[in-house]
Amino acid sequence: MSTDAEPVEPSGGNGTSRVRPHHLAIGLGIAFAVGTAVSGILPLILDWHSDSAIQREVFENVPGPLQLAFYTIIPVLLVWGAFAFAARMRNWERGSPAPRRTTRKNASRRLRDFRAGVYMRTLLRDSAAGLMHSMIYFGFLVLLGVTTVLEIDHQLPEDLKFLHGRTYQAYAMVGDAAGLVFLGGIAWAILRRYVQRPYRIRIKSKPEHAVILGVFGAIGLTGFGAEAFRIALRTAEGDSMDFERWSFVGYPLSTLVDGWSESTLTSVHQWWWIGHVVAFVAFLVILPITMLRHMFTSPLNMYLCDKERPKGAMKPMPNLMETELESFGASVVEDFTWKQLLDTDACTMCGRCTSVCPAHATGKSLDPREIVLKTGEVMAATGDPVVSPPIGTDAEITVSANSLFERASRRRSSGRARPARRAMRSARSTSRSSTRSSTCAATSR
Amino acid sequence: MRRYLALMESDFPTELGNAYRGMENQGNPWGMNQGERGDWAKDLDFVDIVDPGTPLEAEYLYWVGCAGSFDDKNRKVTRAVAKLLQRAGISVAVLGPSEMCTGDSARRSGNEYLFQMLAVPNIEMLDGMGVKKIITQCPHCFNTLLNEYPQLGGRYEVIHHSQLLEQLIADRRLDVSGATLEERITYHDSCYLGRHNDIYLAPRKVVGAIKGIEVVEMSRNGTKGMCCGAGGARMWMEEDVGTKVNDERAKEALSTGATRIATACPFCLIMLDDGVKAAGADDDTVKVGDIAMHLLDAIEAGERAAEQDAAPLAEPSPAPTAGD
Repeated sequence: MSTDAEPVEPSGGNGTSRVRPHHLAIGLGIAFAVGTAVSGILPLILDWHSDSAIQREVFENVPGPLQLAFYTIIPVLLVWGAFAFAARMRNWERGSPAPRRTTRKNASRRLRDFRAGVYMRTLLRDSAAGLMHSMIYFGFLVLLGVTTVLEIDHQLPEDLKFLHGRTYQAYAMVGDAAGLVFLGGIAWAILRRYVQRPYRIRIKSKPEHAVILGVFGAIGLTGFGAEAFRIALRTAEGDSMDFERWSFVGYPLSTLVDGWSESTLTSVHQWWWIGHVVAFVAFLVILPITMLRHMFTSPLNMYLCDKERPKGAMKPMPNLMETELESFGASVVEDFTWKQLLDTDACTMCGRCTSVCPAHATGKSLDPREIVLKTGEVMAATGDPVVSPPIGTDAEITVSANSLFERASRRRSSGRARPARRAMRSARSTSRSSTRSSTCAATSR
Repeated sequence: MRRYLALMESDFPTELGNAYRGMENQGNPWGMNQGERGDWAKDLDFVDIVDPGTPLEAEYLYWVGCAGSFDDKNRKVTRAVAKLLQRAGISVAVLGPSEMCTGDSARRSGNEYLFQMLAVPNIEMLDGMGVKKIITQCPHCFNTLLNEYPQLGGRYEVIHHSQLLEQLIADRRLDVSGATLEERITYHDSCYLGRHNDIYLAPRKVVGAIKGIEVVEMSRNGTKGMCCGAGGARMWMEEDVGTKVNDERAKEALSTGATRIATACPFCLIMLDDGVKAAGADDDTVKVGDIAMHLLDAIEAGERAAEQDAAPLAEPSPAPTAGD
């Protein structure tokens, strides 16, 4: 890793007003939050309603205070998430420059890589993992679309509203199908991770994987629960709900509670609805602080993967006989390029790298996945502000300096702090005599 | 990080010291006398050892590489490639003692200083001779010459012998119509040819051009091909933890039931041959060799068979090894 370019200025330094990438994340988050809040307020003012019998009332049976809480908590969380994400991006900005501009020449390659990212081409090489992930991914996307469509319809004036009659019935069916696919994917994921346990997952699973799967499972289950009780409640109120047969999961479920009293159904529906919102809130909370962030970082990582240098070539270095540089290679976080630092936050610990590593397969202590994760750990722990590691680590592991050899090295760290590049440079002249042998930047916890 | 350890803290595996010294003093990691670099061609009078001080007249420069020049197993590859080139009517021009290590092992192990020390004079020499096209049989030389020398100003059209042989066969410049081997063969992908440079098909097409041969794949092949244990300067280090990578790979190759194992890289050849021998198979049961060796074997076997057809009563003789 070359350091031939000038080191980037430290983040937060000398008060430049230049817009940095992490400002973009904050801006986007605020925009979404404002949009959400406005979408909560507008209908109160405009009060546009559809009179169709075949449709779904938004916030049906949800009292005003709960709606208010919903429209307060969600925008606040969106803003918080944007800041949490921006804090991670500030860490990437610590890296050295890497030319990854999108130019006319490479735009098509970038788009191709991006498509490979959003179609999960690399994931589909393992057909079981690929299909499982696709079910979660496409199920989630369709459900997100379903909610968005409902919200759009909610905002439209009466004569433009479209979500009623046959359109609504088709919509309801698509929503239920997506929910089933989504839950099927989650069940499969739980089965893979905790029952089948393929090698690359078995050797490393973290509690946060259980949390993520739990939250996703809860979103799906409470969604169907709220739907079933909404239908059951309206049936109990005397409405003809035959049209909801197209909700081919929610409708049969609703018939199971036939004969329950209206008051019981009212409160049970409210609890399911609250459960659904709580599960979604939990999702927004874990989105920036767990590997779920790969929803954003992985497509970004793929989009930016194209580079001018052929893949067989190592990064160029300046002519060592002539250069004025004093430090070569990478030892501290700031020696990596911003793209490499971004990549550490895109790691999902899937273990594909380690599972094909010949050194790992033949019993060496090299674990490529750990090198990526530990780089990310050191970056996260020395950030300003400190952020959560890419994937949860043991509480007793602490990182005291930005040197990578603090975590990723065969020799145990002496704990000597090397707070900055400058300190490292001066240390160089005194510690040159070491001739230890080490296979690679291998690690042993 | 490895560059940091090597350049800033002189922290590199001690075994690499010998290879570094060899590259620094003799211009090759084996530490052999540079004067012996051309010895493989002693009895091949069609090989032209050119003077680096004069412009190259031949179309291609054949960059043999250190392994092909000094290692006994790989000298056979070099001789096979040279003979095939001659058969195809391509003049074989080599640098002999003037060729130095490209510096791949030094660079991969972080020793950029040594890499530049070797690469800069190599580029000056090649540019001085006006070299445009280079043939190499070593994927490490291939990758360095093609992808890394441009960083230091050396730009050449580099072709690996697997690509060139494929072209020559396709253009019928190399006559393989009689090449026959009634055997089963498996091809081991070189990392530097495959994953580094996306060359997967050319070497397979070369062995596939042999009549009667059955090409089988190991379970780890192509983009998922498995290391031989020598890349990234591991060639010069001992392996003392866990299973040896080459033993593991050799077992996989043997499990296909192949009687011939093909490589396209000198390091892979050494590693797999060692692994196969360690697994108890000798040259008579399983023959490990470069694609060029297998192809030359097949061509020569075909020619012998043709001669026997002319004299039908003669006894068939066992196929001798290429380059002997």
